[in-house]
Amino acid sequence: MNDQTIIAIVAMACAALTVALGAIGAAIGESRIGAAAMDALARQPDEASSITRTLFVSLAMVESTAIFCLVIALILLFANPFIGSAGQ
Amino acid sequence: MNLRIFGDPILFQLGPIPITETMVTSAVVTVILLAVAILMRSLVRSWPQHWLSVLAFLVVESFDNLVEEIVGRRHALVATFAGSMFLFIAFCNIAGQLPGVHPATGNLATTSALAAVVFLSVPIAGIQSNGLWGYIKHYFRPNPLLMPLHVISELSRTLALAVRLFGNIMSGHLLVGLLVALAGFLVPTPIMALDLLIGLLQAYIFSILSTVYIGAAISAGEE
Amino acid sequence: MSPTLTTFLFEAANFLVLAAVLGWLFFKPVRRALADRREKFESDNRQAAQKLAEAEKTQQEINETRAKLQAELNEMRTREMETARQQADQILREARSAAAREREMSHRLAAQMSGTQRDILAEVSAAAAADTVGRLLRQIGGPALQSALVASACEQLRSLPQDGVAPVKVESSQPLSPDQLASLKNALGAAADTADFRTVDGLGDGVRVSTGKGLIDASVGGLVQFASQSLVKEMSNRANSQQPMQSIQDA
Repeated sequence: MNDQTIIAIVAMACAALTVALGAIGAAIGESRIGAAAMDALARQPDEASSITRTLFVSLAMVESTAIFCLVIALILLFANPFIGSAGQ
Repeated sequence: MNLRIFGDPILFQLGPIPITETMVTSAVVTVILLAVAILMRSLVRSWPQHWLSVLAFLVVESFDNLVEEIVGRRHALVATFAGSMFLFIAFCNIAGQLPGVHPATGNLATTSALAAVVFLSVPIAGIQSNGLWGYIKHYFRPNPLLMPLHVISELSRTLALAVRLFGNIMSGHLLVGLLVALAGFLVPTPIMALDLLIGLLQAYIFSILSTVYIGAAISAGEE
Repeated sequence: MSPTLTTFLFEAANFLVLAAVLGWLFFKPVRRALADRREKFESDNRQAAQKLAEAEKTQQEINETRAKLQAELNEMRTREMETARQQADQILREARSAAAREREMSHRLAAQMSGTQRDILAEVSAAAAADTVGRLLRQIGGPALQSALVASACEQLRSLPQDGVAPVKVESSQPLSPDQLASLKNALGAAADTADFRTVDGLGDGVRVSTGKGLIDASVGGLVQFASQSLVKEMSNRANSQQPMQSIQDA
């Protein structure tokens, strides 16, 4: 069990943890955004287009945190600078 | 197996400049886009009832309306910018669904370049609209202490813009590639459909966010 | 140069060029075409509204003219109908009077014709009746009839006043018997002396005595003649009293 193996194990565990926690946060945030958008739509159906646009933008911004987590996990797995030739 | 996350193979060298696959893909997409646009333009002139002309009218009118809603008034330059951004990203994402084509937006360099263009367009639009001093002044509002936060916000949102698009497109493409490698024929089809939807959605979000940023800069001096 | 940096720069330049060319070749002309179309629509709308207003005005004028013409037409029609009614009345009146005249004339003609026919009929029937009576009397004729007729003449002569009976003329077709002659002379009384007895034809049985007071005819010929005359008179009286024109007028 050399250093490379330890680094690889830790990187894999961190990647899994990153994606899992990031997905939880993004999921909770997106669900709240969806609920709030439904509420607003029920209150003001006339503003549907504006609400929908804002909803998409907000979803994308919250989603981007999960995407960041995914990117970091991928970096850890495939482009880890501490692993010599793990990537590619 | 066409799985690639950060790599970008160099196809050939043009003098000192290495030509990568992403560059070729985006250049081809640009050429196709321009060809379609020129066809639509001639059709708009000669045959306004054709469905392509109607589509062109629809695109231009919808982006004009979008900019009018976000910025508060009609702004042809911003609408052109947002429309071009949407069309380019959408065409790149759709092109990524073709077999053997790696989407140009699935490369961090491309999305970073687009985000950098937006990042640079924001102060240009603000200065053009409010003057140099009027634009700089809004960094010190409501309190000069908040100026670092403004700067960090601009930088981070640019980073978020770039990484969001890259992450979405790259992960979608990666997922499809993994499914093709693991499960084989026809299994990734629903995922590809979702990928298509996500690609269009991300293009829309990218153009809307850039419009929002530019619009905020344009109306910065009016608050 | 690293491939990443060149890609970055190329993509930025690529997008800027794309945006510029798209703005120049696509967005600007399409936007202008849109504006042109909108302007055209608006001008078309304006023209349409203008034409609509003109059309409505023309329609109103047409309606007014039509109403006026209708009123004139109604008036003319009423007048024409009045004139026609008057003419019809006049024609009807003339026709009625002509018809009345015609009817009058025909009535008169019919009355005339019926009068003539009546007379002829009366005479014919009278002649037939007289002929019948004469033939009857002649069939039962003979000395008995002769004496009865003479007795009748004597009876009538006796009822006459005695004065002014003369001159007396006694005519008969059959020769008178002495008894008959004696009774006649007895009946004549004083005038018997100047009495002229003669025999004539056509009387049949009986005698005819003409006196100063009147004619006493007791012969078959005289009876027949008297019957005929009285029949004609009776018929003409009956006809006049019944007014035969009345029935024709009713028909």
